[in-house]
Amino acid sequence: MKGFVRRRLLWVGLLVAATVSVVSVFPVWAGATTRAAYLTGWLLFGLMVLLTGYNWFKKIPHLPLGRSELWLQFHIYAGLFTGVLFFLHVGGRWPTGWFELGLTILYAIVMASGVLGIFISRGWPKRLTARGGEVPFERIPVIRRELRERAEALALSTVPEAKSATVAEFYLRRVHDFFGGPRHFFSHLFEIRLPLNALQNDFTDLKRFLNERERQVAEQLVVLVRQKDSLDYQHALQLTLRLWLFIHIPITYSLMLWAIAHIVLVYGFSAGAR
Amino acid sequence: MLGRRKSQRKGLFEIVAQLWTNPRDPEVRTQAELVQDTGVKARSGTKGAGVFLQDVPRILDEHKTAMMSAGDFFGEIAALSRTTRTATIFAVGGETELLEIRWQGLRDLLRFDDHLRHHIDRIYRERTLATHLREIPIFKKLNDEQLKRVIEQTQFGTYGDYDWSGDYKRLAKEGRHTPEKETIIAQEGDYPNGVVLIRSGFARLSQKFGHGHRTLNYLGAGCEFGLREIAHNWRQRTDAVPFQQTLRVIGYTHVIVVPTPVMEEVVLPTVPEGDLPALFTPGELAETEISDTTRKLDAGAKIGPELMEFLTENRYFNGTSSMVIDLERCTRCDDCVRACATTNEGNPRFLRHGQISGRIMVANSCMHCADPVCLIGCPTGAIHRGQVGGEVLVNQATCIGCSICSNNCPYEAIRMVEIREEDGAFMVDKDMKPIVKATKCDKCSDQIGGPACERSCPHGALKRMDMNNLDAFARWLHR
Amino acid sequence: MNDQLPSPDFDRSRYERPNQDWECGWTCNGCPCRIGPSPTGDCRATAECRPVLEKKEGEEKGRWRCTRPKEHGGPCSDGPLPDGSCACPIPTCQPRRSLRNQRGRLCMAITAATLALLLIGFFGPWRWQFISAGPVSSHHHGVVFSQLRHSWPGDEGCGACHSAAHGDLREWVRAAFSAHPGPLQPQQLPGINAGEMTGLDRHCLACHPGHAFHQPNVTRDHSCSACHREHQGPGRMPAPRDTECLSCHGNGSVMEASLKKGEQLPATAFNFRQTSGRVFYHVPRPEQGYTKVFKSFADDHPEFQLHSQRLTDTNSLRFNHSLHLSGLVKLNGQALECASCHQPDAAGAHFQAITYAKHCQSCHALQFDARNPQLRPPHGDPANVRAFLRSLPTQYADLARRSGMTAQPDTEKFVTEQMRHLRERVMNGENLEQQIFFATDPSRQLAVGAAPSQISARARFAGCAYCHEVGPGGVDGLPRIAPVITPDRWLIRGEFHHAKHAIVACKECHTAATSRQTSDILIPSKKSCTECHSPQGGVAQNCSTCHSYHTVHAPHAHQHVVR
Repeated sequence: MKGFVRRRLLWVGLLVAATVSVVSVFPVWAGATTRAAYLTGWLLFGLMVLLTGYNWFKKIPHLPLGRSELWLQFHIYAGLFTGVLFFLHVGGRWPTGWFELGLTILYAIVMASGVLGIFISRGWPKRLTARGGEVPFERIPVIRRELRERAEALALSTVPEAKSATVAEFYLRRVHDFFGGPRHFFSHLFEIRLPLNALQNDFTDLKRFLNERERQVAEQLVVLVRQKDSLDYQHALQLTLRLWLFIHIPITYSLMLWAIAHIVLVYGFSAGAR
Repeated sequence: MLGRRKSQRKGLFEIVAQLWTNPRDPEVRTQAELVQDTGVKARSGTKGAGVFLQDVPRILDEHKTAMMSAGDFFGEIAALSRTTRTATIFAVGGETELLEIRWQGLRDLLRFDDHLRHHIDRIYRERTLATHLREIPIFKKLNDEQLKRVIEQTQFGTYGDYDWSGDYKRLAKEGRHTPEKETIIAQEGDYPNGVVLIRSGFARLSQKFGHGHRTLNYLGAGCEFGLREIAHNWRQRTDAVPFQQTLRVIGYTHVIVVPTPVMEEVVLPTVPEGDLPALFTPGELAETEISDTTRKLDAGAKIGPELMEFLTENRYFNGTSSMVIDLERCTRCDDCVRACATTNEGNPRFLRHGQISGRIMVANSCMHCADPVCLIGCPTGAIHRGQVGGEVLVNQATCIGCSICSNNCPYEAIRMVEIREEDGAFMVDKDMKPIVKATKCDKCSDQIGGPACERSCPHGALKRMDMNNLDAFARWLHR
Repeated sequence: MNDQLPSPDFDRSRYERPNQDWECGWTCNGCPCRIGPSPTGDCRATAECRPVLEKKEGEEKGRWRCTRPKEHGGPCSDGPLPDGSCACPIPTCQPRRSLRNQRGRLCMAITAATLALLLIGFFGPWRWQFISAGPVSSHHHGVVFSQLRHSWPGDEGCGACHSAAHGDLREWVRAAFSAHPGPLQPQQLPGINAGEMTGLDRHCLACHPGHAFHQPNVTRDHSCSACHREHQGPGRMPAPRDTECLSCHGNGSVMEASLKKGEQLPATAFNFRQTSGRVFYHVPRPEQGYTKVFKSFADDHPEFQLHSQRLTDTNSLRFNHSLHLSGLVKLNGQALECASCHQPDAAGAHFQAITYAKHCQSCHALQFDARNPQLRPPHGDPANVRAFLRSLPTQYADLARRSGMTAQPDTEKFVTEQMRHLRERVMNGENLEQQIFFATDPSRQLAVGAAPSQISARARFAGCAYCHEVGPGGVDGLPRIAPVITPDRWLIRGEFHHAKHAIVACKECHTAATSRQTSDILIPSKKSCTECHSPQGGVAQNCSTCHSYHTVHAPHAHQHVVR
């Protein structure tokens, strides 16, 4: 991890240096001019345009405009730096007007979703890898269907083979819905095993009422249940890894529009830079 | 020439224009892509149809030429060693009758016909071996006379099946393939009877470890085995050492063996002292210390034995551009797949899935192998090596969709797709069968800036790795 | 637990296409059809094959043959229908947008919604509340401003200050791009002078004329809105920041220009302060004016002139603070302290003026006759004193009547008696007059000769000259007593509020306990202030804490002009 630590230290160092420079220069700056809010505002807007540009950069991967990895690191640290600039820009005060309040809320949502995105982008791949059962997201429904068909076939096979409908009925009552689609979304996000354990316990409880053949089928069904659970885990985490951008990106466009309106209002109503 | 398309980079505007010119349906082929002027025309003659080459004088002017007459052989070395053909042959005037023996036939003939074998052996020695040996540093200082002596004494060995992918796939289906089951070329502990030079294919270098064998590395074309032991024994006659590692066949290996007496009498005396490999120390022999030489060689220690076995068993060492994905960094965002699609007219050319070892996945993307078995058997030459970077490419115009390359590929990197017209309807032949083409990663050879997949990964999780350079792989693993 | 899915066995011969905008509606069921939706999201599912009509030699009708590819199951068992259509139609679906496409559409929807919201906000009936940067201060919330409200557009009278508010969004955009520097010229920002007047400031002048007055030697106007920041919340407008003051007072070239201008102005140009009934201690303007460059109060603000020029109080009244506070002097049995004489005024900022009647008389009554201590000449004009002394019999008679002697003979007897005692003491009226006006020796009280019991505990009246500067040369031979001028405002260029300093004892700032001379000025030096008003002290040390820019009128007051 030496190289990783070195790279992170470099970026964090740049961020800290930029923050310290701006925060220490700012009082002098603000002291020398009442234009500090304009200057911090333009710096903030310019950075936000660059940050927004990352999404557009991703749409032209065939042009050699640098590695996406570097762009993302810049995006993260520049994004964090905008927090410092924003704080300086508003002078540490909560906004008093509706318009500026709206702007602040939009910024807060983008920032918070971005920070959340950093955490889940760094942490959740490890969870997915540790859990195993790697499958591309688009292929999950196909795998789910295969599992469901196998489970249904297994459950139904006990009727003629074991001459008993216990397992089949249990399947219909308790298990069929489980295989119907993605399940236990929030449990998987928070690593809660209760739903799976409950289902497995139900199987355990059922075993005392089964004959030999049915028990074999039940054990195979439990294996399929666990595989389906792993699939749901993959689905839950991979979906969330995509869905957080449903907040971060659209709200960014809203923020940029609002910021442009803010610039027009500030210049229009100040009749000259102040 | 035939079957291939001239490698051409797209211009900057063309690349930018992909943003709006990419078809929105998958696997669309325009007429321009499906038709290629190879300069070859068909004509029906009195004895049936044939092809003829236009503009012969221009061809003659642009290339070096030599005449061949009845009874002459050509192309046997390229067929046997699966290297590129070095010459183009065309008929000149009159009637020319050609007998094409495919490599399978040649392999069988060599088995049964001593004369043919000697003939090919002689040709190989005359034409190729001298050049090959001259490339190897220890033979550089030999004069012609000495080289001739070495050539006369050199032995050849061919192990495994030329078409090894079928065997490999069968072995993979049966379960894990352990080193013990592979054919041994040279055994650890045996007397070093000669320097083994890998001519083509791959061999596994392993060492006893506990009750098993630990893979240190795999050797490909151009690598040597046994030189250090022989050089040590030549200088320390009283303290001779046996082979320190075992060399085993992986799939298919073709080797050249220069016997020890020849080395000691002819070759080693010409090598300056400083260029000779270091002597074995008592510590090394007692396995209490590891020398720099061994450390450099031991890639398995750098990347871990689990991963080493994974790469070797799955034959990933073949790849010069294997797609490895670090699953602990990959957020499964599919930016790489989308980048690949944008670069290839809206069609991704790999599947972000594959074998996994720990946190490393080798995805189903063309690895542009050092030994590309997919090339074997292509009837039209549509699948070929590019002239610029050596990447393996499929010419859509001449691909007839026979699936031989796809079936041959041990890594499921080539996919057959049903192509469509520009309006999205499947292209069909006169029997209403959909026309299929082979598709695979082309390493973005017609774009600027290299593979788009690697460049587009936001987390640095994806890398196109040359598996022949495990030091770089180890550095990437521990970045 | 590491459960392996059957994923390694899944169909690797098929690509996944996350770049496509649409996916087959059967995908969520796990069985997408191979045809896929059109780029516009229409299902293209038809049938599994396109039958081919095969006619053998001699046949007329031929036979339809199933052409389903081997990879998709090969020819079906039923074969095509007699009319040539495939017997295995693919059920149609409702194609779904891919996640990526949905995100793109969400982006567009949110962008459109934001634009709509902004337009509704900008053109709707609440647009002024919507775009307002916050409530205006209480200064702009008064009756006067409400009247203005109706004459300017905008619910809150925005147009009173912002010319852009005269129009709608188009006017705002026009105003924005007419600003200097405009939104497309951010690079010019650093070069613009922050204190320059702007169009916004000219609106201030419409109601607040005469803003520019600070000192006559000011060389440039300072922007109103730079100091007086609106929209900082309801309540009072925040005080101007030091940066504004220091934009001139911290700027060497500006101070240099002011100095030069001041040198060309007559000294009388600087006498502009209104006293409003107070007595100012007149501190002469320094030669170079107030043009020293400094950065903060605690660091390099100049020392108060009272101390830097070692000025003295030229009041002619003699007063010894040290004696009065020593504890030797008592009033009603209590030792004197500062509050015994110095009472705060109604506002609490300063103290009521010291007068003889309120603050001195209780101890320093003008008793010239110990037998009759209640008989005292008037304090003030010497002519009145002379008139009193020359009418002493009448005064005594009046005293007798006030004491209860109503009968004429008793009164006359009383008068005669007192006059006799007086003559015994001072011999004649001339002497008495002399003693009253000129005596300074407290040991020689005028009340000498009285019985000890008749000597009151109050300070004995030695003579006018004990406290005043009395000299000859007055009118009609009267003494000339130097006018007493007791300043009650010493630091006239700043404001001080005593009530805010109530937690500090008087003696901590004013060294009255050790002051024996009237000439001592007991105003503390700057050091006393910076003990608290400094970064270390933690109390506010802004320029506006003590100073005001506008000096023509009383601090913080201004005129309103109703349009």
